[in-house]
Amino acid sequence: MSAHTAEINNQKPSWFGGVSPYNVSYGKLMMWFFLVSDAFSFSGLLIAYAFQRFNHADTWAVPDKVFKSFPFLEGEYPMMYVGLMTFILIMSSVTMVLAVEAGHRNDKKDVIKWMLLTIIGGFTFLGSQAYEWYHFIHGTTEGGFYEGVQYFGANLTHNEYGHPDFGGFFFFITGFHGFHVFSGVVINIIIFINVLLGTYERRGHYEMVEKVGLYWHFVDLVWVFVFTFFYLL
Amino acid sequence: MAHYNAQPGVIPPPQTRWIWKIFVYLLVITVVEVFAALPAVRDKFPAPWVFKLFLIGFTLLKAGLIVGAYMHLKDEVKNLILSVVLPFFLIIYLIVLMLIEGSYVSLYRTVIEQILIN
Repeated sequence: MSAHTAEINNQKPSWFGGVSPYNVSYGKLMMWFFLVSDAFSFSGLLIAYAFQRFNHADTWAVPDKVFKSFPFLEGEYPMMYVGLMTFILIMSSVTMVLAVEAGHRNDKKDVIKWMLLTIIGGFTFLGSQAYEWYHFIHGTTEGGFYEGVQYFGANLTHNEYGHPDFGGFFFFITGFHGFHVFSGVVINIIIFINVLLGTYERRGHYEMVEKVGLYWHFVDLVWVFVFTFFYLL
Repeated sequence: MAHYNAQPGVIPPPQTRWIWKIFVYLLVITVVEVFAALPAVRDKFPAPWVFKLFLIGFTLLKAGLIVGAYMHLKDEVKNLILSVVLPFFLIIYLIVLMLIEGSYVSLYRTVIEQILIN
């Protein structure tokens, strides 16, 4: 590189090569771009849901009346378990940030502690989502009517709660999100094993934990939006 | 966000107060959201769209906290922040369009049904 080019590189973000214009590593920048593109995918699904939900607002299911069960408790607790699921996922995001913060200090023990809690939180959320799917598919003993026909439970074509499309959207949106949570947990486990083995201690920095943390926060963020648009609105 | 003294071999103590502070904000916002979504409270809003705007506003606030603080986006170079944030304004515009479109299609369908019945 000539001296002239070096001068340009020192002044402000340069697009002439040799330096990252955004001051971040390649891996982190690509993770951000991936998250933006994945956000488009989820936005597409949620927008389609919003369109159909307002299109058939008169027969659409009311989430308060659909999601009423709570594990180990008899009786009806509308939206309580979904609220708890949201809390669990936000908590796992907090433990993830704490793991990243520990990584900044090169504190291997703390990284292990917080990442383990994040993984457990992720698995808890997945189990909770499976519980919700089970009760959604199983339905109630009374069933429900749509256009004069009685249905019990839910599948991709009909459900007892309201308009037929509600079931399909529920399975696809929460399923797509659950798949992201699952892959996030798997990736977290891989990085966790690497932390245990001391890979990042030898490398000198825990940026991998930070990149994986970005993905995990994205998964949490998507759930916040799904929770608002699907369950509350 | 945090500045650590670089003493070789010594691990600095955690600086996590800001993390828990943001967590409390997120928790309070979620509790308020779920409380406002209860049927008894929801009906006290002046109109349905006010309630929806309220919820969407709080969701965007939560999103801003998570992306800005937890994902450290607010510490990044301004152009990177714009690269991530600007597409979302486009998405919000699309959401609004689709809400309007959905209502219009619903209305149109009702009108057509009435015409076919008569």
